[in-house]
Amino acid sequence: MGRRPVLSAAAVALLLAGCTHSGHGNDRATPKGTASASASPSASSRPYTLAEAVAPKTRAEAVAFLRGLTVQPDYFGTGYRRRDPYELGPTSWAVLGADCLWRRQALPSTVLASLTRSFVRPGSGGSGAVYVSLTVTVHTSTRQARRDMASSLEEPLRCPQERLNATDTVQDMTSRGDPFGELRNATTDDDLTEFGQYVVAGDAKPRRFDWYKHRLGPVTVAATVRHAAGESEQEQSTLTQDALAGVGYVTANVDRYGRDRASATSSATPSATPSAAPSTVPSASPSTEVKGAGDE
Amino acid sequence: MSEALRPSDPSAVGGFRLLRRLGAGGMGVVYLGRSETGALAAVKVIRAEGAADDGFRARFAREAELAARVDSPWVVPVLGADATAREPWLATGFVAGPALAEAVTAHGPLPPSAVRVLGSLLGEALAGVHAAGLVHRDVKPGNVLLAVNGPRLIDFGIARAADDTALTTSGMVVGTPGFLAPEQARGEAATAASDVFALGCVLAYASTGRPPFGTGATDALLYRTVHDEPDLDGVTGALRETLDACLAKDPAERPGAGDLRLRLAEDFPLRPPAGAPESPSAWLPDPVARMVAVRSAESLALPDIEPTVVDDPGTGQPARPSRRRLLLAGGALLLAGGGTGAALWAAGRDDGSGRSTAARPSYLLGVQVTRSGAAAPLARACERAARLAVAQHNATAGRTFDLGVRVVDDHGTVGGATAAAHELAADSAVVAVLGPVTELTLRAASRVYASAKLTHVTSTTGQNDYYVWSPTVTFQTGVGQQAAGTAIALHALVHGLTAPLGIVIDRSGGTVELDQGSVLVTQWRGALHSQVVPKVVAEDTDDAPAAVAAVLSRGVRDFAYLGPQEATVRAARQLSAAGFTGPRWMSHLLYGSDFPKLAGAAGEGWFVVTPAVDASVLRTKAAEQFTAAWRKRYGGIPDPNGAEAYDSVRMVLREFTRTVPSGGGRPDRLALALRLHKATYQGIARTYTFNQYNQFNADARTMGGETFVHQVHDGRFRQVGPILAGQTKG
Repeated sequence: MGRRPVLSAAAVALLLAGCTHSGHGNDRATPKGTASASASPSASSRPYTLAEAVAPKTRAEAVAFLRGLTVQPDYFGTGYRRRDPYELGPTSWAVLGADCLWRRQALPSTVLASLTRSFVRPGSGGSGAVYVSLTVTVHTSTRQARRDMASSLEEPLRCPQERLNATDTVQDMTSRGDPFGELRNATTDDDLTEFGQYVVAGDAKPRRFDWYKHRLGPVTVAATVRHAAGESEQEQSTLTQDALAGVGYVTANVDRYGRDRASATSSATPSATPSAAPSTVPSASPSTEVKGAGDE
Repeated sequence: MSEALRPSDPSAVGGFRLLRRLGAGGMGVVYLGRSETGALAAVKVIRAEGAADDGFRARFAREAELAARVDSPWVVPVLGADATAREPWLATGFVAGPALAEAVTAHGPLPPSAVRVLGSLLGEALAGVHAAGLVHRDVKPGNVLLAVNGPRLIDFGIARAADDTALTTSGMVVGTPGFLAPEQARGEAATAASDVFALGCVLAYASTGRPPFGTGATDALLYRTVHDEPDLDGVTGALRETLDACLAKDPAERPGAGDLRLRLAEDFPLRPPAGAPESPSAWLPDPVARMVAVRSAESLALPDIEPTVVDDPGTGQPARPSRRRLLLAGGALLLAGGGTGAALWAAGRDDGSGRSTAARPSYLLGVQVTRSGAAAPLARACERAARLAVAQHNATAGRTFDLGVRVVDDHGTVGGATAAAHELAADSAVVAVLGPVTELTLRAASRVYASAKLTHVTSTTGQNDYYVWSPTVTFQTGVGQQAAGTAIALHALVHGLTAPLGIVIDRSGGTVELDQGSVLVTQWRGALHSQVVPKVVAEDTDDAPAAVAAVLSRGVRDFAYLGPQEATVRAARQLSAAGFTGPRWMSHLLYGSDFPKLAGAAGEGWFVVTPAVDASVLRTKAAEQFTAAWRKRYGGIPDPNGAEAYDSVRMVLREFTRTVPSGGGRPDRLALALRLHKATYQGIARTYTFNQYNQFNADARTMGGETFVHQVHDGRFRQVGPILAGQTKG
């Protein structure tokens, strides 16, 4: 088994979720009833992924997959709850135009479905609200998803300022894309990380803005974190860490979906829906969700 | 490792919100929970029927209270308990590491030094337990968790009577057969000395991979525990003496738990030598450390866990902000990388004196290279440069040591690089290493070198996060990838080439291309105030020609293609066919490649900007001497990248020489790294100093006067000169 010396926190969540299936065929002595994080594979030599063969093939399958994916507010840390509106999609997504303005547009033919879920951690005391959005997109193929990752990496290069609406701008974004094979902290087939500033017109100071995007075969999982104004560096770090962990849970769920489908197929009991419990679905709203960030 | 809560599970217990199930036993369920303050906890909830007995509740309450008083960094803390609840519960700190049992099952016995650390710290842990008036009663490999900075003892004495007692029909034995003392095996009450016996069993197991009284049926195990001598084959020295004492049949003959530290503490590697940076202690062998790191990393993904979960309790320093900035992914990356790398430890290194001849000691310079694939030219240049520099050393009169070269091919893979580094690190004659030569192999090997404290220098890499797990011994004399992007912009600026730039970043070239390209874009737009048309091409898509065409259609007048050789050659042909004759740049990594040959006429005029110098065209004394020596030995001009490899070896040898104690003898391995970090070395065409991340210091001077522009001309790279001519070192 190949070694995998580098792990990121997100990857980590994946391992976490992956551990119910050991998948390595060797039984280890595991302490029972202890505080140990026991029985997970000792290292992951594979990324979280989704094989094309078991990925949703039609728009209907893709929508069912997205709706069935479990995404809990507390995946991202304490105190998060659903925003209202909660969901955007699944027949439109956010696109950064040539004019560097984000708009929601109908899905292109290369995308089967895309669903954005929005969460908020309400402000308390002196600190403001934190917004997290999570967008899962099913592309028609792994190749198309790779193209989408490349275009995401291109966005901050072509638009030093990405406008979200009349008042909000994301700027100074720095990005890196880490394919799993380079051992550079990737947990899925391809991990993209960006961070920069979120500027609201009229505000004295920009807030921190994080963006993560992971690719698992033909599926991309993207998340944005819009920090509150006035966070300390420690608070920022913790928030980022927690949110990234939440993304990790989701990618783990996608990975598990694929493995479940694969084993269901091999044992000739196919199942078309994810094993995860269906979430309650408020009606989609036609708001101008941009870069998954949403508006206040 | 854990599973989701079931519908029947409570959502909260006491003040703890339950997140996941960690495990279940006959007595109840252990959950992962989160306290109101956000701390993660292991919450053990006893089934109501298990607590039906009032005696159980009373004992539970008393022991929980005592356990809360235990004060040892090596014992998981009790965070809360309630014996009166309908379902009594106990919450302890959550430790992410694997159990010793898992580590040994997966990776075999631990080296003696790690066992000494284990024994010493677990002795301290037990001393703390005993001082609180408790007896653990179930010290076993499953109750010892491994963390980066030491072990943690868990599950002490509480709330396990019902499920773990029923080992004999009499119901009187508490503990785990094979890891309990003879008096416990006879059904007598466990004492502090029983814990010491059990610890002896645990250490024996850690040393040999075998329970000291074998395995098999409970009755046989208990019999052997009482009557047979333990199996300690292969355990020697002070460790053997200590284990013999712990495993004495007579409780009175066993040492106290607190004495173990004194008995085992020599060579205790938890603290780095004076002057060395503090880092999480490297006490575990590599594969186990990896396992620990994976678990620690996993825990980072748990809701609300503190990033300091595995930090040394004594030295929990906050991460430096600068490091966090260095890594775009922020703290998560830093912590995960740090946990992994810092914990590595190459076991069994002998830092005794090298192979010596009668007059002088003889040491080896290791060279780790990848002889196949795209890195083959780098391997050749590095190997030749190393042999030349070593030959020159051995020809020096008055030298205090002789030197040999040991070359290892790592085949360009992670496994190969790890193995190669282990091989060199295990050779006690190796004093320093040149290499490895690629980012991927460096990523793997630097962890091993870090753990072995073996200084290594690579002259051909330039990513910037190695520092995270190898802050002391990994040095890069090559230019940082991001500085390479800046160098192109500087070249355009200085030479009046600034114009709207089309740039294609080809992901099939790896992350290094985006490293260079994103800086180039930022500089072009921000510092050169010109336009940029960027395109990022997905890997494995064949989208590059379309991207080049799209960029050309925007009317750009400069062009950069940052990708691997073949793709760059193809772009050159496409640009040529389109009649594009403006300035064109390729990735600095293609200097010395076959691009000029493969691209033919289409490649003519392409620039590559790199600190790699063609010394054969410099008229300085240093360059002429180097070129002449190379020519004499190898019959041609120096290979591209040869000068920098040569400089790197010469610098390392100079600094190593200065670490040799005045009375002779073998210097400490770490001393070289500490010196090198502060060194200034005048090379053939560059002045080498290192920044805080032990990377070549790319400042205004080196960027301008010591970074060279080469242009493809007549089918080869021709050196135009430094970006800022007239500043080359004489």
